[in-house]
Amino acid sequence: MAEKLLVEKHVEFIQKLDKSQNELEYWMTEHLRVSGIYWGLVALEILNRTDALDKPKVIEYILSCQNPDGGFGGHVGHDSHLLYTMSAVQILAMYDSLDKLDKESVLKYVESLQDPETGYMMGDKWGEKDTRFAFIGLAICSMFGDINRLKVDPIIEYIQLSMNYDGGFGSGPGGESHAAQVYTCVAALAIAKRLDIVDREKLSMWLCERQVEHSGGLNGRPQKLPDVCYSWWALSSLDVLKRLHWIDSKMLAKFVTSCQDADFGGISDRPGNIADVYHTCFGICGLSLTQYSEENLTLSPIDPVYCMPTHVVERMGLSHGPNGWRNYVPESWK
Amino acid sequence: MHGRTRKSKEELEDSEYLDNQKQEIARYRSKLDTVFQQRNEKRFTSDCLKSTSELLNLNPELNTVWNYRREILNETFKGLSKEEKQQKLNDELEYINVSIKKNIKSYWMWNHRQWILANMPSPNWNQEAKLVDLLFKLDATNFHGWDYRRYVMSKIQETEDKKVVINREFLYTKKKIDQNFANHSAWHYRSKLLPVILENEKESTLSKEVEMIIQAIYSDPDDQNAWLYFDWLIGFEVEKTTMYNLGIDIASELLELEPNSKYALLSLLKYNLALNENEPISPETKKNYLEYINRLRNIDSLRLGLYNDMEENVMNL
Ligand SMILES: [Zn+2]
Repeated sequence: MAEKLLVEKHVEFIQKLDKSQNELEYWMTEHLRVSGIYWGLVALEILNRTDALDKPKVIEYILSCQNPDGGFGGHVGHDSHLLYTMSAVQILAMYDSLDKLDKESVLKYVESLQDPETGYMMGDKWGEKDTRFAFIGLAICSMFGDINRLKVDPIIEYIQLSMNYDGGFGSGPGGESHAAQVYTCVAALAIAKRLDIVDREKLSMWLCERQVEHSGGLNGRPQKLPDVCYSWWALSSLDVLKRLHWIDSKMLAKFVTSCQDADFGGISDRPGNIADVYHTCFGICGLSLTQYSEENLTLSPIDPVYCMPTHVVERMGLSHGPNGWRNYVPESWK
Repeated sequence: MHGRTRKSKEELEDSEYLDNQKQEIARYRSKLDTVFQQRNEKRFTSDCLKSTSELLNLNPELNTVWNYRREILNETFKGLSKEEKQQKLNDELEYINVSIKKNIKSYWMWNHRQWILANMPSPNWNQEAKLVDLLFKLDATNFHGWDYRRYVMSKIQETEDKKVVINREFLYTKKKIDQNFANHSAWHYRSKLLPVILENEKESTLSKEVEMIIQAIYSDPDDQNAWLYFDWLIGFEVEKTTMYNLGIDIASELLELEPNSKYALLSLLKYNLALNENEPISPETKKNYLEYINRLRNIDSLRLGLYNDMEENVMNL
């Protein structure tokens, strides 16, 4: 059990992901490589080691994953989906290279996934609806400075219908509250400047209860085991709600560092499990939110809505400033 | 990405393990290449469908391959009679029935199931409800399963009387809760059904519901959801003071049995505050409130920030 963040090990772990062709896992995760690169790059940004990846090579690869419909697949030759389109846009945004993209083609793709009848967002042309896609639709359009490409009202309605008695949000109307879905809803409402919809007290109480006794890790729903990724989903939501101080950061850091693989680097969902880039990313992001630091180590701050480094979101004018989500605070929160 | 035990350096460097990995990679890649090549060649034969089955058995997360599968099926439907189409989709459902038990958490697989049923000339929704019930024996709080159950019921409601279906589902959640009071997925579903039922028979149903949630609270006073549900029920009552007093009584009784019951303390504070919202507060009462908060701090050290905020609010009363 390590007590410190093994920065060098994690950087190595992320760099090695692209060179692990002798591991089955490399091939089994090929279909979400674009997201894998996104998770790796965010982690490196937060560790102040952005240059650990080959920027031109990454950009070239990402651009090669765009399909004629304007969306991105998770790998070259794979079908477009909003999940991977989001990761691709985030990577290019972090590299300040959105101009390398035909903005119009991406916006058209996102626009095509708003159900013409209901106005709800779909994940791809096959029509799955989920609050995750409500968030991604709004996030991508706002990153291109064109949020009104989508009809915002029905998207908000969908999120509102997904709200539950416990103050949380589910994957859609009728769906049970789940910390990851809460993040997508809170972040979507922040972007649309409609946080007035949430029951701030109830939701914050539900979220801070996700931190579990003894281990200090967070779970995604009551009675479930703690898992490193909820360090991000629950904490980012609490941060937007301005209630981040309702959990114990020291205990959380203890949990996250106990999930590190001291031999090969990387962070796993729980202590002793196989590390992966997804949990490495969200573990480090959670620590960044709590302003974790060590002697000679400060983490770069992360934006709780866009899940990109704060400096990137500021540069894009999406944090403070007239279009920024921080520019709006509901009346009742003041 | 979830729930797989780490291997040691020795295990990972073991030559037998490495050989095995090599073989598995070769097997996987050849199936993957076959499927993508067939798709690029726009082939939609039953052999192609079989290749996707083999590949998806190895990796059900390949969304593009699920898409290809649907393209193949759509192609084979052309010129088929209704009965023949139904048969094809029954076979497809059979395939999913086997795989879904192994991959109960795969979004793509649940999507595919929904697609199959949506395209069936005569879907058997009651059979779907039975399947979901069987899956709950593997994982009683699987949210895909519960979401799918709600979808199935929305379809059944298209042909059956809505009221009958909702009442039946309400009884179903009761059955699940009787098996386990802490099945929060069942309580959640109940929270979606109850408002519809209350439209017609408010009084008796509501008081029965209150009784039931009180039982749940007593069976596990540490279950946050049970308290939240109780709190949510207050919203339906006209006479809220009665409910606040009831909450205070339950909390006080539990605290006598278990002085460190966190949610009992929180509720005691909450309902006292709600009850006396418009009254001027006496120094004595304030002292009591602050004492509750101090006890909470001692019981629940993870959430000191929350209790500090609560203290500040009470101080400002
Ligand atoms: Zn996780």
